[in-house]
Amino acid sequence: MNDQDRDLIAALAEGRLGTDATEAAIARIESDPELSAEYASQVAALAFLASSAVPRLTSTERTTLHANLTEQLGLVAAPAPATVKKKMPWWAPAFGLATAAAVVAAVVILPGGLSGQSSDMSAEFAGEALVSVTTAAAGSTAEAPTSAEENRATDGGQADDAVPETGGISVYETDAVQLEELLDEIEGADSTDEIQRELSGLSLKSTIDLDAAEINACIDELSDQIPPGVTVIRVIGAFVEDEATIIHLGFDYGEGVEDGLSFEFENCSLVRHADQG
Amino acid sequence: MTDRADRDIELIDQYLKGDVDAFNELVAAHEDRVFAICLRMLRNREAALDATQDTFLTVFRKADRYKARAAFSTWLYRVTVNTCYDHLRREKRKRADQLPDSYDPVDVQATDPFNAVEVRPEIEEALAALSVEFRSAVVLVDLQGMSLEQASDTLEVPTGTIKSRLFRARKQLAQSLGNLRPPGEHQRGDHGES
Repeated sequence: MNDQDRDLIAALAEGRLGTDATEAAIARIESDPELSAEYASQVAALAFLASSAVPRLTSTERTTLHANLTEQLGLVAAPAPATVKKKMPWWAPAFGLATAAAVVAAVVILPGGLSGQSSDMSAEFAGEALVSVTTAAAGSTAEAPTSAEENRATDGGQADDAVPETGGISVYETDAVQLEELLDEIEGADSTDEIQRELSGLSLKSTIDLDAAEINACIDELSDQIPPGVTVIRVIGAFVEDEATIIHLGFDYGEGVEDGLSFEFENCSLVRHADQG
Repeated sequence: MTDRADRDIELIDQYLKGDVDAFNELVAAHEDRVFAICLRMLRNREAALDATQDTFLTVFRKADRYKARAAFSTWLYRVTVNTCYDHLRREKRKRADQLPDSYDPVDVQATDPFNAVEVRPEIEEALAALSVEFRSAVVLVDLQGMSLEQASDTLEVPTGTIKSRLFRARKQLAQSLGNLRPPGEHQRGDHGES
C-alpha cells in the first residue's frame, strides 16, 4: 500500500470524497484485500472514536479553575510591552556576569552534508547540511562558514575555536527555565557574541560540561525536527531536572535565532518545540 | 478569520492593554476544549485540570508574544499540547507505570451531573496504548474535530506526517478495540468491508 492508497482510504473513511470519487475509491479498495482490511480498520476506529463523549469540566472543576486563575491573575503582573526588555524573574540571581561570560556553544549547519556524522544522517539531511560544533570564548565570534569547505577548514585549521567532536563544551545552566522564555531573551541574535551579551544581562547559575559528540549525535537523531531554512543551530542553555539534562537549541534562519527545541541529552528525546505563535 | 477568531484577537489586544476581564472571557471561551484535549492526553481529571490551568497561565504570561500570525486558538492548542507533553514527561519520570489504569472517577461533588463525563473506558484504554505522537494526532483531529491543517500547525509537523500518524493510529486503535471488545459484539462501522 502506498501513500496514495493510504490517503484514499482515509478520505473515504472520513467521508471527504464526492460521489464519483467515492465510487472509484470503493472499486479500488474492493479490488485489493489488503486495502479492504485497512479500510475496515479505519472505519472501525473512527466509529469508536465518534461514540466517545466530549469531556467537559464539571461545575466544581470549572469553579476551581477560575478561582486558581483569578488568584494567579492577582499575583502576576500584566506583561510588559514587547519593546521593553524583560526583567529576569525566572533566574535566581546567584551568579554574576563573570559566569555569563563563559563559553557559549554553537552548532553550525551548512550546506554540504554532515561532517563527521553517519552516512545515514547525511541522507536524512539530503545533502543540505553540515554540522560541526564550535565554541566561542568570551569576546570572540563564531560566524558560520559559508561553505562545507570553509567549515571543514574551521574544524581542522582553527583549533582555537573548534571543539573536537569527542571533546567537552560548556553550556549555560539555566535552571528549569522554559525554552520560550530563553528564546524571548535572545530573539534575533545572529551571533554567538550577541547571544552572549543578551544572556550576560541575566544572572546565570553556572555552566554544564557536555560532550560535543553526544550533542551532535542527538541532533543527528532529531534531524527531522529541524525546520527547513535553518542555517545555524546554537546550544543556548541546559538544565538538569530529575537527573535528566535538558538542552535548549536555538534555530537561526540567517537573521538571528527565532525559535528552537529542547531535548533530553541522555536519550536524545525531544522535549518540546518552541511555540511560534 | 471567523467571528470567534476575530473576537479572540480583540480580547488579546484588550488584555495587553490591562483588561483582565478580557482574559477571563478568553478562558471561558476555550476552557472546555483545552480541558478535553488535556483529559484525553493525560487520562486523569486532576492532571488534566492542572494542565488546563498551566496552559492558560502560560498564555497569560506570554500574551505579548502572540502576533496574530496564526489563529489564537492554534497558538492556544499548541501550548496545550506542549503542556500535556510536559506533564507526561514528568509523570514518566515519577513512575515506571506511566499512566493510570483508568480515568479518575468523575467528581461526585459536581453540582451539575450532566456536565460529568462518561467516557468509554475501552476507548480510553486503546488511546492510552498509542504513542504520545499518535495520540495527540487522534485527539486533535478525530476527537476534537480539527482539520489536518490545523493539527499540522498545532503540532508543528507537516500535514503528511499528521495523515500518516492518524492512519497508523487508527489501525492500532482498531486492533486494540477489537481485542478489547467482548466476543460476539458487532463492530460498528464495518460497512466498508467487501
